[in-house]
Amino acid sequence: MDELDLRIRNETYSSFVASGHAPEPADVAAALDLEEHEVVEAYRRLHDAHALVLEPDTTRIRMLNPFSAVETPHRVEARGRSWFANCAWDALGILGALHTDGAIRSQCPDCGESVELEVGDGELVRGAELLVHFVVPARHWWDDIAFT
Amino acid sequence: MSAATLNELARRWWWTRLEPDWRPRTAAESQAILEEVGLIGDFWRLT
Repeated sequence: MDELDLRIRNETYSSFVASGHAPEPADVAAALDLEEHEVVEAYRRLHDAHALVLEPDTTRIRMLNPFSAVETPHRVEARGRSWFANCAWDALGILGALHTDGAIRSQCPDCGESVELEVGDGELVRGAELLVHFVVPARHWWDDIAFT
Repeated sequence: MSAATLNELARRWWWTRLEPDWRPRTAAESQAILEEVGLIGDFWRLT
């Protein structure tokens, strides 16, 4: 990951947090005084490096981990705003990345039951007793990150 | 694992994600985070 890719990655994340949606390559190019194709090419390299996740065969962003760029059952509420996460780990990770407390409303992918968590002063103040099951061994997480 | 442990993991894993000078961690650094919250053994090996 070279310096250009890092600049593009960091601007993409910054734009996402500011606006709440994934930026278009043209927007990132304009912000960084680059050509659009440079951002598109960087997105493909960043996808291969697992620094972001594109929708298959496109340059549309699906994940800016821990954030999801698409709607999911895992909703995070913090600082008066809401976000979608990719999973329970990412939902808590959104609060960690934002350095804030907040609430999580999710759904168990196994039984469909609603799940609610709340973080206060960095600690789980609601839902701490719940258990989380990891299905995929760590070395295989990126085999199919959407499934993981 | 408990949700409390997952919260601890998530905070350590994602805390620096939005820093303007973010750079990727090495596999060893990521493995260390897992170990810090007690996630050891083959299931948790990243490589």
